[in-house]
Amino acid sequence: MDNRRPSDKTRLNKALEADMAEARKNRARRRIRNRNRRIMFRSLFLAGIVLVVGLAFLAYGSQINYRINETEANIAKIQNEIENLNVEIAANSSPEIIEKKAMEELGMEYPNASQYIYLDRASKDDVQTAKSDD
Amino acid sequence: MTDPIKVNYKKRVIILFAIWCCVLLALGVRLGWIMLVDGEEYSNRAVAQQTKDTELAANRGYIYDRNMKELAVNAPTYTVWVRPSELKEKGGRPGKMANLIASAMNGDPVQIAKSLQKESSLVRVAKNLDSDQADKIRKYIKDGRLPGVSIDESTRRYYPYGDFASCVIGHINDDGNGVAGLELFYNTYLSGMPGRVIRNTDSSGRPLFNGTERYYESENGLNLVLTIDEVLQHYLDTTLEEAYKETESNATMGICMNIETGEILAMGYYPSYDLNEPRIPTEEKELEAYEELETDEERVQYWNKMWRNFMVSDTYEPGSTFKLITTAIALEEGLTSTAESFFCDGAYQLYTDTFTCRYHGAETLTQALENSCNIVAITLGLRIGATKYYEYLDTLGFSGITRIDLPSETSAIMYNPEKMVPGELAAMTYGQGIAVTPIQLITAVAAIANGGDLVRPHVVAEVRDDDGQVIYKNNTDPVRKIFSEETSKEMCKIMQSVVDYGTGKNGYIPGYKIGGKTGTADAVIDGHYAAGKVFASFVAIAPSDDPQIITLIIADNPKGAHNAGTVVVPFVRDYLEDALTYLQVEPQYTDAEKQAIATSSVSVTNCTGHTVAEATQMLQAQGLKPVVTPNNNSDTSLEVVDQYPKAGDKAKSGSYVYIYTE
Repeated sequence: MDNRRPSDKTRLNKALEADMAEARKNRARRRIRNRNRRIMFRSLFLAGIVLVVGLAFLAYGSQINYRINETEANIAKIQNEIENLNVEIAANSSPEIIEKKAMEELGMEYPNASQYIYLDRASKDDVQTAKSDD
Repeated sequence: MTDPIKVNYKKRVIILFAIWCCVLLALGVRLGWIMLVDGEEYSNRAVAQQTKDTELAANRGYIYDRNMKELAVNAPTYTVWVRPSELKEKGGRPGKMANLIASAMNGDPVQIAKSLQKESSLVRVAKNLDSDQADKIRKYIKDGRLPGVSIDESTRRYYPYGDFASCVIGHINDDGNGVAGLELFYNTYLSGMPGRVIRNTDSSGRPLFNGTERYYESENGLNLVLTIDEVLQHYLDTTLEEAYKETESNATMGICMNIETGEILAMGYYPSYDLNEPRIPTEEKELEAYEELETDEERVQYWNKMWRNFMVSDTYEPGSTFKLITTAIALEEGLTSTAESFFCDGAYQLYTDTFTCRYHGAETLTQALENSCNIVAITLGLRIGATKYYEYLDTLGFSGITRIDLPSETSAIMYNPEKMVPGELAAMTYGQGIAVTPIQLITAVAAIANGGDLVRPHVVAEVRDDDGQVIYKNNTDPVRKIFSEETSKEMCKIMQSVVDYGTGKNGYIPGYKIGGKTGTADAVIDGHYAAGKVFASFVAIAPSDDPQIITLIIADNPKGAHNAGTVVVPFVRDYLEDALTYLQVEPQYTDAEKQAIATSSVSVTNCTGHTVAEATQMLQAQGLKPVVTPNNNSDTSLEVVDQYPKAGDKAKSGSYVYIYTE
């Protein structure tokens, strides 16, 4: 090794140092690159998870929406049925039907004259007295 | 040296460039033209294509009776539509589809098949389906078995009581507009205003999710609250039906009115029709006659007659009920008094006319009306004279209309006073030779009996909106004063004696003072008096010492016995008995009446402690009807533990007695 000239030595050293420096830089770059890749993958992964979770929420939301719509349609349908039943009630409340049912099924009769009791309507004074009693 | 190729090249480029510039300029001008000049037209067409303007139907107003019972309502209903072209496109088989639809809704498959194959773009297959039927058909549509068919939700008019006050309420046609009665008269109030929804739509007409929407709400129709009372109406309808059947009349009709305010409490006509099926009469005989009609013309004629309210739109000769008017006028004008005596010898010679009457002999004014004497009526009429008589007819409302709120009201038919001969006036005094509407007659008699005020008869008390606010109230004030209180009181007494002693005897109700006047008038058919055909009527006021209600019942051509006293009066009595009890008018019994009641009822014997068999025997011996409760137990040896009515209480003969076992 001593055969070499001193300038050769320094040149070698320099080259070696340069190589080593470059290798170091390369390593550092690789490290940064790897770290960046890791960050990218991780953030992509995170993003993916966020997306999936978001989609899940959206799906849940639209499912609820669908249920809401369905329930609203049901409500409207039942409202209609209620109205129809109300109409049926009104139809069965006709004086003719009530009279028929009362007389034929329940055996009821119109009272005779002696079964009526006639009361006099309360006069205005009575009403006022009641009010001032509280 | 310039390169010749280059120069040519350059030139070509310049030329091409110039051409290109021109083209762009032209396009620019065209664009400017489209945007600036035709811009509005195109944007209008785009808007028209992109928006859908749908009408929102307004809810029709409800009709209630005076106690807010529903008489006309809206019910949700389903309609089945078909697009025949779509049906064909999708290969539907009309026969099979019709059977499917018919089975779901109990319809006629032949009719349905016809509708499915009609040559229209949109055909209605069936209407008024309920939700169960609609669900079935919807399932078939979902399963793809009914291509081209769709179900639409809408509302229909429904009358819960069916055949009830049909001549008053009326009905609507398929377009939702009133055709008769109140539905027609108040159609504008009831209809409301439809709203609109304007939306952006895609090419197939479906609304866009993010499009703009303009919403104009519909205004619901207003509701009517009637003066009609459902209970009184029911009593009147029952009475009219009984009268129709027993007297075999062509028709029976009646009005019951509040004598002070003109509120119509009940108005009925028999035979009638169910408002939910307005084209089909409910009465047996009429149904037979209707089913025999062959042409559409005949049917339309029949329907128009059925939907017409006779009491408002047709006239009849009132007969002797008109004597009340003649007498009232004479009393008011001081031309007679209740003390005056007359003599009726059965005939009155007036120039060339001879008027006949039953022989009544000597009679007071009151008795003349009890007997319904024509001669006295003619005498009074001639004293009044044609001019004065017609003046009163005018103020009583016969020359015009009563302005009742029902459609197609007509006025009376009277002789022209300027061309009249005395014989014609004479006939008018006892109600022949003048034709009036029933509503005019009852209003005029009301004016005589209520203290002398002419009221305006009306059927609607109030018009309200959905929040219950009163938008319009019908005026109940009297229109004008015609008779004095004195005349009115005297006339009420006279009407009372017609029922006590005269032709209205069958109208007597124990405990109540009823007054009235009968009328049996020859009917006019095609301009001539028809032999043997009469209008029998009775107008009654109750109670006659302080009249509250006035009732008129008319029988059109009763068969057999003719005169109103036997034919109509008993039915008026039946109606008033029920009506006065319902109106809580307390009966005042004379001693004789109290006695009569006592003997018609028995004191119920004591059944407790006896067996069912014994109790039944005892009660039946008393003329009562035992009812065992609970009646699933037929063991007659069980002991009776309680009874109703209690032992010793009065029960009317023939009424039920409830006996209770353990």
